[in-house]
Amino acid sequence: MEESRDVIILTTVGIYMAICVAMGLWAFGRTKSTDDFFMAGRNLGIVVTAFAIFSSTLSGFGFVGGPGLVYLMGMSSIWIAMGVSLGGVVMFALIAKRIRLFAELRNCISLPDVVAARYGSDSVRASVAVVILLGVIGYLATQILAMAIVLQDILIGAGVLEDIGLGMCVVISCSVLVFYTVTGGILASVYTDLVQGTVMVVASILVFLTVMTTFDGGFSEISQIVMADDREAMGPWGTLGIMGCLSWFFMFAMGAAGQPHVITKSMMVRRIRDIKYIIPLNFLAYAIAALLWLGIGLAMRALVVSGAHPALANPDAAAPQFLQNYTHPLLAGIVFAGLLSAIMSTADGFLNIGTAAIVHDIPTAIRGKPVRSRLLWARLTTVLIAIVAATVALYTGDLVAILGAFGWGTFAAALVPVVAIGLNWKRASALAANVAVIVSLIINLGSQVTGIAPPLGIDVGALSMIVSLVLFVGISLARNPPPIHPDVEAIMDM
Amino acid sequence: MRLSILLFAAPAVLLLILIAAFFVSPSLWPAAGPHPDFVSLDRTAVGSQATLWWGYAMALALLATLAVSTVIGVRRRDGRTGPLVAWLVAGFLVLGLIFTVLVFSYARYAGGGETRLFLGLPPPTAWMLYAVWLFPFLIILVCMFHFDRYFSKDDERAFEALIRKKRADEKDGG
Repeated sequence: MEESRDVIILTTVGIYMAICVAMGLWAFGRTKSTDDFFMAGRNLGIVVTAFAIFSSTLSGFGFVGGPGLVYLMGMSSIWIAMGVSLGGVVMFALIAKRIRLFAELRNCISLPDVVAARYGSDSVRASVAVVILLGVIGYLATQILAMAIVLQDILIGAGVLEDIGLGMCVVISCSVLVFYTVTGGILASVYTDLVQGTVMVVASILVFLTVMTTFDGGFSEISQIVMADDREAMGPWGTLGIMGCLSWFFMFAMGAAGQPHVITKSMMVRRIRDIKYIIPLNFLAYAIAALLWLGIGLAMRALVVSGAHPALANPDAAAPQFLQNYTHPLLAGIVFAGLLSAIMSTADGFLNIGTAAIVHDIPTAIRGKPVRSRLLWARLTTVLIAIVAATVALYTGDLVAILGAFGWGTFAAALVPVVAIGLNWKRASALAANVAVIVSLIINLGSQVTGIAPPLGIDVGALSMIVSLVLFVGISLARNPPPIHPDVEAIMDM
Repeated sequence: MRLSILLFAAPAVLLLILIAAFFVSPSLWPAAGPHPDFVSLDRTAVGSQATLWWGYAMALALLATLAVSTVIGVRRRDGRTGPLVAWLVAGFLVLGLIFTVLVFSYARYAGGGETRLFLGLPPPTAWMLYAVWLFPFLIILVCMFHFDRYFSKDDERAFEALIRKKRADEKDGG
C-alpha cells in the first residue's frame, strides 16, 4: 500500500471534492430566496450549526500553520486553541442568543444588518460592511492560495500532472468552491461544513493516536526530548514568552465573538433553545481538532532535535512531512482531505458574507435599499469576489500576506466592541462604534504596512482590540445614553 | 452603572499593564532566537521568568475583562439570571486561581532541576492543558444547564408576541 500512497491521497481528495459538488447540486433546489441564500431560511439544526461554527473557525491555519508554530515555538501557539475554546463561553454569553433574536426581529440577513438595527445607524452599517469586505478579500486570498498550494503538492506528488502551475491549481480548487457556494448558497456551505468538520475531527483523532506511537515512550518521551533540547519550549509559554501567549489567548477568546463568518452562523439556527447544545458541541469538536495541531508540532520537533528526521526547510512543512513519513497512506489521504476541508469551509463563509456586504449592506447604507434581483446578483457577486480574491492571491505578492494577517485581529478589534458588547449594553453609541472600527483599522493596517509590532511578543490584534474596547466604552460613557427603538430595547432586556 | 464602569476599567487596566510593561522592563524581554543547530526552529534565550509577574498581572486583568463582558451578556434587570451571573463570576475566579497555580508552578519549573511528568507533560504545562484549556467546558456546561434562566419560557412568549405584533404592524402599514 505504501507505494500507492500518493494515488490514495489523490483519490481521497477527489472523493471529497465530488461530495462538495454534490452538496452544491442538492442545495441548489432548496435555495429559492435571498433569505435561503444568506441565512439558510434560519432553519438549521443543532449538529449542522455546531459543525458550521467549528469548521468556519478552524481554517487552513489550524491544520498547517498551527502544527508549524508548535514545531517552531513549542507550546506557545496552543494558547490560540485554548483561547478559541474559552471563546465558547464568550459566544454563549454575548452573541449566540442576542444575534439570533435580532435576526428574526428585523429579518436581518447579514451582520451589518444587525448592527444597523441595534444602533439605528446606516453609518455603522457601512463601516462594518467595509471592514468585512476588506477582511474578506484578504482572508479569502490567503485561503485560496493555501488551497492551490496543497492541491499542487497532491497532484505533483501523485505524478498525475507533474508540471501543473499554481494558477491552474487556483482555477481547479476555486471552481469547486465557487460551484457549491454559488449554486447552494449558505445551505451548501453549512452542509459541506458538516462533512468537512467530520473529516477534520476523525483525522485529528487518528493523527493523535499515530503521534502517541511515533516514539516507544509515547507522549512522555516526546516531552523529555523537547525539554532536554530547550526547557522553555515544553513549558507553558514556549519560546514566545508569557505576554505574547496571553495576548493570543485574549485575542482568540474575546475575538471569536467578532468573527463575522463564524457568528453569522448563530443567526441561522432554527430554535433559540438549540444554542445550549451548539456551543458545547462546538467546544468539543475544536478541542479534538486541536490535538492534531499539538501532536504533529511536538512530534516533529522531537523527531528533528533527536536526529530522527532532518531539519525542515520551513515550519509549515511540519504537517505535510509528518503525514508523508509517519502515517498510514489512507490516514494521510483523510488528513489531506481534512486540510482542504479546513480551508474551504472558512473560504465559503467569507464568500457568503462578502457577497452580502456588496449586494445588500453597502447599497442599503448608501441608498436605503439593497439591489434588485438580489438572488441573481448574489450568485454573480460570489463569482466576482472569488475572481478578485484569486487575482489578489496570484499577482499581488506581499499584499496577500498583509491582508491575510489583517484578518482575525482586525475583525476582533473592530467588531468585538461594536457587536459583542454593543448588542448587550444599552449605553453603547453609534459614534463610539464608528470610532472603534476606524481606530482598529488604523492600528492593524498601520502595523502591517510599517512592520512596527508591539514589544514582548504582544500580538497587534490583541493590542488594537483592547484599545478599541477602551475607546468604545469610554466614548459611550462620556455621552448621554442614546435613544433605542422600543423593540430593540425589548430584546436587549431578554 | 457600576457594571458599566467595570466594563471600562477592566480593559483600561489591561492596557495600562501592557504599556507599563513595555516601558518599565524592556531589558527583560524574553528573547527567543534561531536554534543554533536546527534551521526553522526557535530556541529560548532568556525565558518567561523575566516577565512572569507582568504576565501574571496581565492574565488577571484579561480574565477580569472577559468576566465583566460576559456578565454584561447574561445579566437581567429582573434578577432572574442571578445564579447564572454568579456561576460565571465563580467560573472566572476559579480560572484566575488556576492561572495563579500555573504561574507558581512555572516559576518552580523555570528554576531548573529534575522535572517529574504528569500525564506526559511537565507540571506547569499540565496545568495549562488539563486545567486552563478544559475548565471553560465546565462553565459552558453550567450555562447549558441554566439556559432556561438565560432565555426563559416567559422570554420566549414575549419574543413571539413581539414578532407577531411587528408582522401585524408591517401588514397594516402596507
